[in-house]
Amino acid sequence: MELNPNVDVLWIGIGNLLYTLGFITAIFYLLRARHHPRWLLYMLIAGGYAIQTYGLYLRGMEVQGCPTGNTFEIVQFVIWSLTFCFLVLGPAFRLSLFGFFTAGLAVMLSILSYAIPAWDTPYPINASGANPSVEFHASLAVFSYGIFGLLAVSSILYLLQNYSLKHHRWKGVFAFLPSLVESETMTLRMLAAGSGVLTVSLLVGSVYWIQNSAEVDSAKLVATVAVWLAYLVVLGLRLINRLYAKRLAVTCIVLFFVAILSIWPIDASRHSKAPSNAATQLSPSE
Amino acid sequence: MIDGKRTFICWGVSHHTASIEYREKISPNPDQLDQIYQKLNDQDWMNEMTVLSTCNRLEIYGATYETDSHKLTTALSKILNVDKDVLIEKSNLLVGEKALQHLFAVTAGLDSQIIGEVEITGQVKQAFLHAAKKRTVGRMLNKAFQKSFQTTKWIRSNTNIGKGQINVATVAVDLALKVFGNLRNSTTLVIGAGDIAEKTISALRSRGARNLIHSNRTFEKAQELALTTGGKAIPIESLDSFLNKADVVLCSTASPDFILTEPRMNTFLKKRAVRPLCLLDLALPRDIDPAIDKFPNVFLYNLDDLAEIADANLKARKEELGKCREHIEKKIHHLMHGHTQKSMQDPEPGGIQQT
Repeated sequence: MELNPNVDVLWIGIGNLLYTLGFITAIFYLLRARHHPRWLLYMLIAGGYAIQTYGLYLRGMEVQGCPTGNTFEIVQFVIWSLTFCFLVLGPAFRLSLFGFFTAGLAVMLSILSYAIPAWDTPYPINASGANPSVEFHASLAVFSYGIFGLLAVSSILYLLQNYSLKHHRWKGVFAFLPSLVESETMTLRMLAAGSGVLTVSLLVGSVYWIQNSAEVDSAKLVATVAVWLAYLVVLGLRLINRLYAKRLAVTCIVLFFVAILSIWPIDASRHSKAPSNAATQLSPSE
Repeated sequence: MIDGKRTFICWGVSHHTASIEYREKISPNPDQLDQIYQKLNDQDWMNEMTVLSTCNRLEIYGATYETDSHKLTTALSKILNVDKDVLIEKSNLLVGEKALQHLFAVTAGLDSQIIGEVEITGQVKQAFLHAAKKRTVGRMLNKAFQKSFQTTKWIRSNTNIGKGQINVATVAVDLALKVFGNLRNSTTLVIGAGDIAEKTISALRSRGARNLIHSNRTFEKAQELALTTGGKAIPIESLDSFLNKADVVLCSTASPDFILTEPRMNTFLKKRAVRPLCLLDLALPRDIDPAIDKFPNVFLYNLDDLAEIADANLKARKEELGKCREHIEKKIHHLMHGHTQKSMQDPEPGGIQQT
């Protein structure tokens, strides 16, 4: 399949632009019209998601696998998972401003992914060696990061409402926030769902790691297990009522950004150890 | 909305022109209301009519052949047993476009004492239906009222005229909702009684609160309140054991000292773990130590806080008035001069059409 190497980045970028448009439109409506355009925002995110999916599909065709081979792809896959979870769960939970902050987080991550060109480094085609279980493990792991992204969003909503109620701020965005209990319920559900998906991902990955221990990148393994353990500890502490309310929300936000920001150094270390006789190098920027 | 022969009018006495005592005096009882319909409808100059009677206004909307209020006021003063001259002084008559603007503003709650209130829309609808049953509504009034309902719907959906509570009791409930989302599964502990507390309990119940616990220095008073709200009464001595179960605590006692002090709350807050607590201090002097607000997951509001929110919401509603009136003017212009004008004209003036 002959592809223009920049076409996938273009489609992914258009998808990201629609998230940005949704976010800016929502800000305008919230501040000027004092109205939350729930469905308009939902449609813009859905449109962005569809276009981003196409872009990631093209990238997947290009690299002959799940596009999670470099930091740019991983972050884009996290954005994709985040918006997917929002599109599925958003209408069910009907949390006010959920879409607004999801779009905001997607915009922030997409700016980050485009701001550092080094993140989109070339890597060997089919780096996972056409092993379906490794692909499945990787996509599930990145998908769980999307859920953790949504967890960070519900935590932000919680913190803002907590601030609003404590400091008597009722205007602007504060007027549209969901209740504390609703945000915390969402936080607990996302925490459990994300930890569950990451656990399954690690179980799937462990089969490969046990059989091919020499090929496993130890930095990546340690970081992934550390993130997994951290979320499990947070979930455990929440379930026994030792970590809750504001501290839980802050922990979830910090943990998400630590997890996201740890992707790059780990990915860089993985590529620096890549075999020199790797298969053809491909990169959209080539 | 003058179709050549008939004119849309609004005669009325309202909170703008008369005191509550006078409004009470002229508020028609059901018999008097029937008489108004009967007597005015018998007049050859009155073609269609609807009487709107609420605690804030007595207004008559009509399609008439005369725009002099003298005959109307004279007839009404006889029915209502009030002095004609005083009634003339307290009333006013709006004609044509101005009368229409007034109807639209009243229906949308823009002319109410509590700006943006929703009850008035229902009252206008009831008045219109009542008039329709009495067969005093024809093409002109039907069109005017239907358009006013449509305009009200637009105003409610597209402006913030009805957003934000503007009385202390409903502001308190709104704050509890900001914490819990809904009040169906939360427990409300009411300490003391009082006018604002009773209004707040009523507002809490209307928003779904079911589990109410009443405590009072006089146990009988708590029992009395519990009977009216369907709640449970507890002696004031056992308050501590129930504080732990409460999600919303509403305090309204006459105690000169704090009822809920920091050390007292500190003891049981540790047992509450994750559940947030909303404290509403509706007493003056205050019942709850303000230092309690520093605890995480505890949200304390006193009367000043609630009044401040109510004032801010009222200010925000007033800021929306211009936008609402602009929309009303646009709709009335369309009604008076647009393509629908033809459909509003009575093919046979004088004949009331059944709605």
